[in-house]
Amino acid sequence: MKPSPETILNQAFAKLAMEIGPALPPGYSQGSVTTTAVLLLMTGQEFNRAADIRVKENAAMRTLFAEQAKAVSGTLGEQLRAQSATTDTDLTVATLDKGNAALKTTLIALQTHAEDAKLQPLQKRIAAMLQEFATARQIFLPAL
Amino acid sequence: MTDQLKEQIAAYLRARMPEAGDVEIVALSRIHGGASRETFRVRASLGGRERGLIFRRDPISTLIETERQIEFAAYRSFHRTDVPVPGALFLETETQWLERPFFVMEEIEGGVAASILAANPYGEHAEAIGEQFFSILGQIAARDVASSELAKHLEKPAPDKAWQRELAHWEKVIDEDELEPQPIARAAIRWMRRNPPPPAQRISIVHGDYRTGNFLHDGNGRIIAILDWEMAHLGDPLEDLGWALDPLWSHHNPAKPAGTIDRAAAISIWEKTSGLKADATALRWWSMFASLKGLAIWISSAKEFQNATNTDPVMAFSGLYCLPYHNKVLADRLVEMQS
Repeated sequence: MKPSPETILNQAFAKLAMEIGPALPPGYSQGSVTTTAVLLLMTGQEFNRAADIRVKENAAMRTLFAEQAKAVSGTLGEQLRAQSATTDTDLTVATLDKGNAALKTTLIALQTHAEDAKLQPLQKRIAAMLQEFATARQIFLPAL
Repeated sequence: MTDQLKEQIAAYLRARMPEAGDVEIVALSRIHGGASRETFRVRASLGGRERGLIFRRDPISTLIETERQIEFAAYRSFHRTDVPVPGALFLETETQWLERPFFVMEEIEGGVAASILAANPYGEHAEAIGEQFFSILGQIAARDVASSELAKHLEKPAPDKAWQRELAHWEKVIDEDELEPQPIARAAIRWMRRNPPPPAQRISIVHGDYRTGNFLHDGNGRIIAILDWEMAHLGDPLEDLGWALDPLWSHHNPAKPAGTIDRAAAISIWEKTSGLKADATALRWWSMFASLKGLAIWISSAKEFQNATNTDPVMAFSGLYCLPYHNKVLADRLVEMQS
């Protein structure tokens, strides 16, 4: 798609933030236009990477669950086995989000289990995984 | 909107201030940024004398569910003290005037508030602003609670229970408003319960949203008003310090809280004016709490925007930028705790 959505949104940001916003009188309308412009800039960043982030997160969680399913019994063990067997076939962001939410619910249960059972290496691994996820999902904003 | 609102405000002022004589609204504009209330700047001619007023009206939907009485009482608690606040004039809980409850304050003229995205909002006055910012926060912590207007409206927690109450409150917000699972928030909450802070040294008035952007300065290095008291409550004063030091409010430079002075200097000024100690373990807990509370607020705002109950772009910004920001801050802290 050309122009790319990222280019369209970046140019829309520039138009609103640099031309239209400053032409408005200071106050609510000007502030809202500038904030809307920033939203477009951020949405441009997110558009390009959203599916990639979710596919990678989902894959990382499934790998972890497959390994841990061997060591965990009961309901959580079954949940881990079931979740590790899921796949991402529909790569629309909305569908990936649904799968991501189901996996993260299981991740919360697994992390709670690791804390209750004092499984230090597993706790560290999950904390590092969450840090990696959070780093990838940050939005970069220039100083304005 | 403007003409009708002008008429409504004029009618209200005529009824509320009959002694003022003729009332005319000379100018009316909405102020950008307040997500918890709609804020209007009103220039009114009262008996031929012009006066600046601020009207803070409850929104249809709100980012932070707060009682306007508390915010009103907070302004009254600090009026004519060393903590600069505008005078709070009238509180209206009835809907007959502006469809929703509101309160009226004096306008502080010539004041500037910083945008959190600005790189260096205070310029050459950063040091002076930082010193005042943390000194005023210490004074808020030192304010006698019992003699304040706020004491009439707020419950005083026991010193060892203040953290529990706040954590439970914001956990409930996340429980009610999350649109997707929040593993980092959940891990932070569990960590905070397993590692509680020491009891509060004193139960103080907590501003609740004390940060850059929520005060006015005169552009020449002087803070002239502390605003946005809608989350005021009684609790551990370290809660405000943790919030004020949070990296989201650092203008892209976490080493300089509020984009002003070094973290150590900020803490030292706060200790001096509050007469309290910023114990490292306690402050670590309250810093973690600050980012969790932020996360809870951003989760709520994302829900409001997603459900179209409040489509102010600030709500979307909170969900899109601030939410991942605080997730990262908390994730980093949790890794730090692991090691």
